[in-house]
Amino acid sequence: MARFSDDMLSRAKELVSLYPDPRSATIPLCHLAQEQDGYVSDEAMAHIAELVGSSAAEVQGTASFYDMLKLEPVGRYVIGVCTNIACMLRGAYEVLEDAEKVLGIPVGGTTEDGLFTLEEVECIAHCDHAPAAQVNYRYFGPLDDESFRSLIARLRDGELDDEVPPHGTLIRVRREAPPAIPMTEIDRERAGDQE
Amino acid sequence: MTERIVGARLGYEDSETLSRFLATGGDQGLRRAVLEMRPEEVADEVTTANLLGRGGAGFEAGRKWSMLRKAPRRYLVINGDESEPATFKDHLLVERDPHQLVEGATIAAYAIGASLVVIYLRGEFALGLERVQQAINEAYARNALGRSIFGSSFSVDILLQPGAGAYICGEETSLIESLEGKRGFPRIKPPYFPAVIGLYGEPTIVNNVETVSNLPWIVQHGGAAFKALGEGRSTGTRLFALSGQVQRPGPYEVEMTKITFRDLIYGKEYGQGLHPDRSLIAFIPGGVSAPWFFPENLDIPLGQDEVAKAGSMLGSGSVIVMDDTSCPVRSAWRIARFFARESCGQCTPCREGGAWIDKILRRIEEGEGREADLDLLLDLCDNISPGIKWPPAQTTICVLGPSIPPSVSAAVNHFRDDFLVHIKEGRCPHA
Amino acid sequence: MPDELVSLTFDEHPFQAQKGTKLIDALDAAGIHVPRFCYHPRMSAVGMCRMCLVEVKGPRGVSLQPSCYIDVADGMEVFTESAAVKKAQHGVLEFLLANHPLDCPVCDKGGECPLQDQAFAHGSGETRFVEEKRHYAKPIPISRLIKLDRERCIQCDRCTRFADEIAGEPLIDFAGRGGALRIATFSNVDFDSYFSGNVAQICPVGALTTTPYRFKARPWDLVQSASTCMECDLGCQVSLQSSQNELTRMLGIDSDAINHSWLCDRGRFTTSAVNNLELRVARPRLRDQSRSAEVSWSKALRAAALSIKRTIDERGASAVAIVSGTSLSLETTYAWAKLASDVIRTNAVDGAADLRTDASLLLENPASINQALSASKLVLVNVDPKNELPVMHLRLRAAIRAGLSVIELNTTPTELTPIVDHAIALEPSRLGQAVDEVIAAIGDQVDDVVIVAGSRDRGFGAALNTRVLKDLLERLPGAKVLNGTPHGANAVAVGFTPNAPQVIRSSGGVTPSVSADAIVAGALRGDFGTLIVLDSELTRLGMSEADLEVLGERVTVIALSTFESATTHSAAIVLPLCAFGEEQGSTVNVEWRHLRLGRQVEPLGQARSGWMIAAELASMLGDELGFLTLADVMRDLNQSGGLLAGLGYEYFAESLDGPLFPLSRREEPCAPRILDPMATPGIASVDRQGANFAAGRVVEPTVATGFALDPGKSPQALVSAERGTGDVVRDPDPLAEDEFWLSLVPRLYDVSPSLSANPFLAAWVRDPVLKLSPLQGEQLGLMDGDRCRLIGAATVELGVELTKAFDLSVRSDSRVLVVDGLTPATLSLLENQSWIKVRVEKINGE
Repeated sequence: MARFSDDMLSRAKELVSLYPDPRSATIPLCHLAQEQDGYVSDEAMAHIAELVGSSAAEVQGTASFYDMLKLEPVGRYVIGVCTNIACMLRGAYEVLEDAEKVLGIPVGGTTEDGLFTLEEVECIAHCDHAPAAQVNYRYFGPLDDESFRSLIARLRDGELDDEVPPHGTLIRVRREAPPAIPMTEIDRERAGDQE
Repeated sequence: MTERIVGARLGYEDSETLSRFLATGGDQGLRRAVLEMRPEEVADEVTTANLLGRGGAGFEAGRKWSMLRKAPRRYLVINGDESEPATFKDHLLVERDPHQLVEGATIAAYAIGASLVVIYLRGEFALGLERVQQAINEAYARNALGRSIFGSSFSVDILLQPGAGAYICGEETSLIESLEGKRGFPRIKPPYFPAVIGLYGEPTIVNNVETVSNLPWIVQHGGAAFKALGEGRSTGTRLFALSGQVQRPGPYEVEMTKITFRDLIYGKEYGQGLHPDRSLIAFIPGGVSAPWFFPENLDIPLGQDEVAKAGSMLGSGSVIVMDDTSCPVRSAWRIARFFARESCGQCTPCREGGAWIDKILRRIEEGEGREADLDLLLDLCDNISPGIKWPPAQTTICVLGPSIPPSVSAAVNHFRDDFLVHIKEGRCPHA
Repeated sequence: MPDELVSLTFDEHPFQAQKGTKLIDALDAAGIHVPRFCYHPRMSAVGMCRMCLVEVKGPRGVSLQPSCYIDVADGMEVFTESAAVKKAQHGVLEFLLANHPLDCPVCDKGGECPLQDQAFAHGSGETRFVEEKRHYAKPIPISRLIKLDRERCIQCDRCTRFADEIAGEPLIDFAGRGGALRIATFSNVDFDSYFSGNVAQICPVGALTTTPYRFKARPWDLVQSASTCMECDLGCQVSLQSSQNELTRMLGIDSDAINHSWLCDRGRFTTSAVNNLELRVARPRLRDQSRSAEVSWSKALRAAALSIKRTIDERGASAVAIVSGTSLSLETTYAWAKLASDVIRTNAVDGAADLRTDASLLLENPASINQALSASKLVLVNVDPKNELPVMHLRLRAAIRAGLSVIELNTTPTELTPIVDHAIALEPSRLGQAVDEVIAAIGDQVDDVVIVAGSRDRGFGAALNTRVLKDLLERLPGAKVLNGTPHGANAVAVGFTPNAPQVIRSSGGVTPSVSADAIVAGALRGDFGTLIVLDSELTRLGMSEADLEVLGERVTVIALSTFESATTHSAAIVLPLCAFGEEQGSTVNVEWRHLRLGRQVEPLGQARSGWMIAAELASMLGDELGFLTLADVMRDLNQSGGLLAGLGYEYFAESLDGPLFPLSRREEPCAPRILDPMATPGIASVDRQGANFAAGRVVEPTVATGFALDPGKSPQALVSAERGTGDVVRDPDPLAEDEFWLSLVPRLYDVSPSLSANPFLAAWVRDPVLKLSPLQGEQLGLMDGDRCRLIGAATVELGVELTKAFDLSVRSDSRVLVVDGLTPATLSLLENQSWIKVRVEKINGE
């Protein structure tokens, strides 16, 4: 896809400016790239490398380490069915099998209409609602055959649009704060209370 | 019902809002700290409280702070990358009481003189991330954050950093690497503690979400009041996450050491027992890295040292219950598979051993096992964690690799017959 | 550093080690070899492979620890043979082999593979791994030179560490996680690095292999000798390996003094050019009109001698000119110096065309490389280590990381600019100011200053280089100097250049006094009757191809050459020279260290050593150099006095690195170095086959009996004498509004005969460009990818490249335009003058 658009670029630069070391913005910028394109494209990684002062290979090395960062396009909704122990003990694999049937795709696949990608994920810390699943990291559970079907239907119908933004949009609340206190200013203050 | 500390607001539907927070004692701890106490006094209260870290290792928070290398620049990182399977207490605190977290983090920053605070939250906590960002924004707006907090001479910023999906980043040095924009490779030791060399090479304190969520209460009520709860080293309350095959899985805040696992699993106000037709075959007392417990361990109290003495750990405070319809082979496989998937790949034994054990267990589960596999499994475990003992020895940089053997050895040793049915008859006796 | 010792026990035997030593190094020193894969003695330890686990008794009992990562400590008890250690190491080995393919028989690493060796020595012989192994597409070319086989990779982090930490070019990194952790370049972009070959050398398995060596040979078929890379004068120590009289590959040897085992690709892959028979000069030939014909040596030499003789007779000895711009062996350089001085008696001699500074300043108080890298302040003057002395760039990076403070004085930024303490711009209008700034930057740390003095910018002539260096030395009287020019050290050492005419002088000989630039200009004017070109390309010395065409009408060109070039195609007489690896000999490097050259294959065709040709020409000219064997040349050098007094071969029997000259400078002991077999498995494995690695016995070629010309008249006195330092330094005229100073800087892959002959490197040669900072681009109305016309002494069309890095390091008011890359065309902009004013015009696309 693409490098950051002008709007995204100004958000990216703002993020970079928050950190004492620009490289720390790598993961937030990868999320930002996903917000723009739904995934982290090669062009975006190259752009991020420029912005944070790494090599593109290093950005790729970081991005490919993390499960949430997709280096290939995915569906509008990435559905992650948790099958880890707590969910497994309460029927997660049955939910996963249902999901494959309902969506008509195997785990790792994306529906032809580009709407859904199905994943099997590790524990999402929603065990008191096991078996659970996440849709673009918004949590649902406990699930069974019926509630899963209804979840898919509601997503299709746009009933959950407020709750579940398209894949890549993670945090819809933007930081509202005065400009970061410069580290040098803090250093001076803290230097006083050293023992 | 025991005293509630971190979970005090969870009974309210609107616990995450600023109005509820302020109406229920919010900000009082922070105000008291920055306006009435010196940083050392805050740290002293925490030491008096004997607050044990709630992330898993259970290290005394006050002692951790005291190890901070004195340098002009120091960082505080809040570890909210909760990913230990069946652990969901931080998830709850982040989503349901974000203001308490921000207040606690600010108190900790004051106590240690942090130059900057980063709250690193698990990336999958989308709702939590939004709520914590909202809480941070609101804190800035009412001068509970930023320059001259509440008119005091203390200034600090808090950044919210989303993770991106890697269990290993819960390990504190790995989290720091991730925060520096790198792969989450745990750092090799020595140095042993980020308090000496941490973020950007500067001294850094990494505290868990639940740990700092206790701080507003401790500052308000004093360390002694906290220490009065619980017993021995296990003071205060803890948020236990009960999951698996119980009637009422959920988070339960209980005073430490005062109830047993039996109480937690079967108690009326807690798990309410198993399905009436089923019986308990095993439970894991503190996250899937911990050695399994069996029915004979039910009467052990929920205390750090008490569980350690019995050969396991309280760890992240998550208790997983398995009844007799579950297959221990499958459970062991699923846990091994988790670690294989989450290995960072640095150390040979974990990278290769984890994947190998995953494959063997899956083969057995699918009815393609061989009897020799059982000894092989134990020997591979031994090569990752020599002696397969507790606490584990290790051939690796961090403890992720050595977290594989406890489940595998518990299952193979305790449920050998189940394995043999899989191997000899190609079927699961629990199916 | 104080030598503080700690006492500890290894397997219950007491040992002592210096504080701060890594346990694995202390164990090595004690003769206890702990198996390892990821540890490399020249890179930081990462403790990833876990193979080197040993038991260490500490306050909390005995535990397994990676010996590569922990330091020795007093009272430490270490166990390397315990059952727990053996089980852990065996376990790690089994884990590494679990997913490793069983393709040793077709793997280039087979026979010299540490993993294979470990498996044979300690493996169980039977696998317990019955699962499906990991599969990846393979092999993946990650550059023209390197192929990646991910299935063989053991994730040791050596190549990635090299790229990031040593080369500073993190173009390869891990990708993925856990069992899927793998090596990757970014989205299949080339691993485009001058240093890529090192990753194959240090790969402990066959995951990274070099394309030129792939399937070429098996290690047990190789023979090797120690030698010195001659692609520049840094003097990187190499193991030169061959099979069946063909050079197969070159590996870097860990010389503590010089290259720390690293090589640049231009050096490492030079063997591919040597093996390119089509572009080698194999036989002598003579040109008659437009036709060139191969002839016998005697006929060719007779023609050469006749031409020299005729020139001397008709126009005087000074009408014979000799020029060279590459690195010939010390023996060849000396033989030609003697021939020129004592037999032909010409002063028109310059064997160091690239050296544009007064070399006596380099010799007064010379620094070694290690002294330079441990100086209180290091000053780089007109030198670009990465493009001129590539491995020096790596050493500098490491030294800067370890705290070396560097002040850079260059006309144009280098890749070191972002990491040096001070980068000071050299510009004609501010030479004095630049020197002042250097002195200010040094402050009071004047005790141990070293200056690396080069001749990088061709727009910056010899007079300017000399002036800056002189000014600096006047202000810094104790400073030592390290030569920073990539070619010409041997010529300086034996006085075969007007830039250093007084080093060795047999009594009554003629002193060189005409610079290469003057020789080239004079040749075009017809000032000379005979021009002898020693293994050089005249188009690199300032002649255009058109010049070459007319040159033959005015002067008889005698080209001694290894490779075909524009010069050999136009020369009247072409004499084939031995290539690198085809002759025994020696060389001195930039620090005046004497280093050996190994002979590993027979010379191609009728190629001969340069010193032999000199000896034969001398005898044909009715004189004798007295050189029948290499030892004769050495004996002469040994007794010549001056810089090289005491020179010999005998010390090479004991050490890899020879001594520094003058011998009184011997500041570092040349102890034989224990080579870590894991760091250089390819060398160790071939060594094991019994090749004569360390000794490098001299195989004596001898001179064919010559035949004399009629004794002629004795050479005439000098006719013209031009000092080599060229133009007079004067303040430059002010620039007009649209004028700029031209900075013309070399690149490692500038077109040259040996590069053109190298099938694996030729493609790296790129067109020169006008390199601008984005700000300059804006001012000139030029964008990246535009084409422009540069008008100097000639007019040249160039592409435009905007370089972001320049924005940081180029002064915003800079009046210098940088042309990156030396070609006949870009050199024509200068016409061998310094500080040329140029104008630039945009070429509008059709």
